[in-house]
Amino acid sequence: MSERVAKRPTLFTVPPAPSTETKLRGARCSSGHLFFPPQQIGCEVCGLYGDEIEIIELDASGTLQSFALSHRQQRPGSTAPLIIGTVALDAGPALEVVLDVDDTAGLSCGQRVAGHLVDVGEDESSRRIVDCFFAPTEPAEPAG
Amino acid sequence: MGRTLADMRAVSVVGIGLHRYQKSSKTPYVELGLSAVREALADAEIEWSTVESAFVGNAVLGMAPGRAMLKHLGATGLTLCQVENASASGSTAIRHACLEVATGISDVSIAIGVDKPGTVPISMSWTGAERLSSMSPLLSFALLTNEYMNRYGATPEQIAAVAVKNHGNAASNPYAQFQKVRSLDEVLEHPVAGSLTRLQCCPFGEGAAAVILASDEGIERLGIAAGRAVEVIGSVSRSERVYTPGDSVIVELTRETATQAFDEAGVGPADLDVVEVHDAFSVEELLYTEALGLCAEGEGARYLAEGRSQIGGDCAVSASGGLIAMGHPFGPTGVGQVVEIARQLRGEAGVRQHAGARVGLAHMVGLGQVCLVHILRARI
Repeated sequence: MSERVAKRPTLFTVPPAPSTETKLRGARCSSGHLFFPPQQIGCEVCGLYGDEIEIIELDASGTLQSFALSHRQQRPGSTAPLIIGTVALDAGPALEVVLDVDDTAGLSCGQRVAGHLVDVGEDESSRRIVDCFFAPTEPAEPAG
Repeated sequence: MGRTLADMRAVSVVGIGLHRYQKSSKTPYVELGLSAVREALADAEIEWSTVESAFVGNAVLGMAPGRAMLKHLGATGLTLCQVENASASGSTAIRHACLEVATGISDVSIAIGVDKPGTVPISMSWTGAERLSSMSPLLSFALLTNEYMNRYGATPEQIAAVAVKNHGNAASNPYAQFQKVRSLDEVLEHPVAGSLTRLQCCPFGEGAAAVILASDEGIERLGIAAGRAVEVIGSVSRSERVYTPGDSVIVELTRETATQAFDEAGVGPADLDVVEVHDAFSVEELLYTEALGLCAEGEGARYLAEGRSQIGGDCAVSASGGLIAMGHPFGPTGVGQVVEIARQLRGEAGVRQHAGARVGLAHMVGLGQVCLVHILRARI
């Protein structure tokens, strides 16, 4: 199994292969504000910075607030169609994510979802690149 | 809290001009802008030499477009300032021209919006911070649309009805990029993202808009027709705070900006006759009619379905056709909203006239996020 690297190394962890489990990297200010993505440049609530902000790991689990099938790509060079979602993490922050599902039939708002690692390509050193996509961990609520 | 517009001298819109919003063309921005400015000067019946300051709003045109355009009116040496505030650039130019006059620095100031689609990068994507999934505005609004439908039980057809109304209004607006009545079936064709379809998303084209603002002293000194003047009674600009996770930033930001503007103007939602909102995507109009207090939360679709936001209803929302159908060329958009409201409050909007319009509100949001709200009132 070749070495793996994160597509966005500051945002999520990559355990040894073949595990697809991941944790998100968030941050908590000494004022109590918890946020994602992580940074130590300055807290949006109080302005504290540097060592006053701790980088922490967050469980990549939450509930699906919304989802949509997009026929347009996220940005030039990315793929389409794709299925996207808004996830309210159990830890607090809400994120817009890519959903690792084939269609929207198995999705419903309020459904439990979790992030996992997905192989998205190879870098110049023949290392596999992995990204963090989300998917349901329970069946959808029946429609209607 | 410092002073507000209500504490300063009166400022009124005395001249309005537009260049039609259109697909990107080979026409230089200079010609687009001059066309709108000359129309505004003719409307006010004043000479360019009487304008003491100019605020030029643009978001995608690049650095320093103002003087290269305005010199062709005569290089008078007036105060000149470029204004960039994303989609709210034009609205911000309006605000600063208002303040220039209200504070007594100028008697006559002009706000101009001019833009052409370009390749100017978005600086907020260079903060150095990675994002898990940087969504385009289209994708974020597709998610917001689905969330709105799920939360309030609205249907794709009810949301698409915003575009049916606004394309219908734009059909009789000679300055609109799209001038064609569209049926619900037509609007529901061509899905783009989620339930959003092509005709529910604003076009990004080119165009220009100009608004001349004057003090009462300027109106009297220059012999401007005071009866056609429209007073700006509220001007508020705010930016995003940290909200409860899961709450919509644009809704919360709109609500707090509008609340402050209503306080400043001494009017409330029930006083509004005409409103132009940042309806870049159809669901936004429903969210903003609720956030502005025209109807209760979750009642936006019903408010529209009952015809209350139609021209001739309780409050005409986006009588111009809005961003969805009049178009969204960035810099001109917020200035063009004030042009439409001034035209309505003068009673000069022709077949689009909302009868008896006395008070109007213009609302824009810009990436960042920023929000601008202006409230205007007829003087007679």
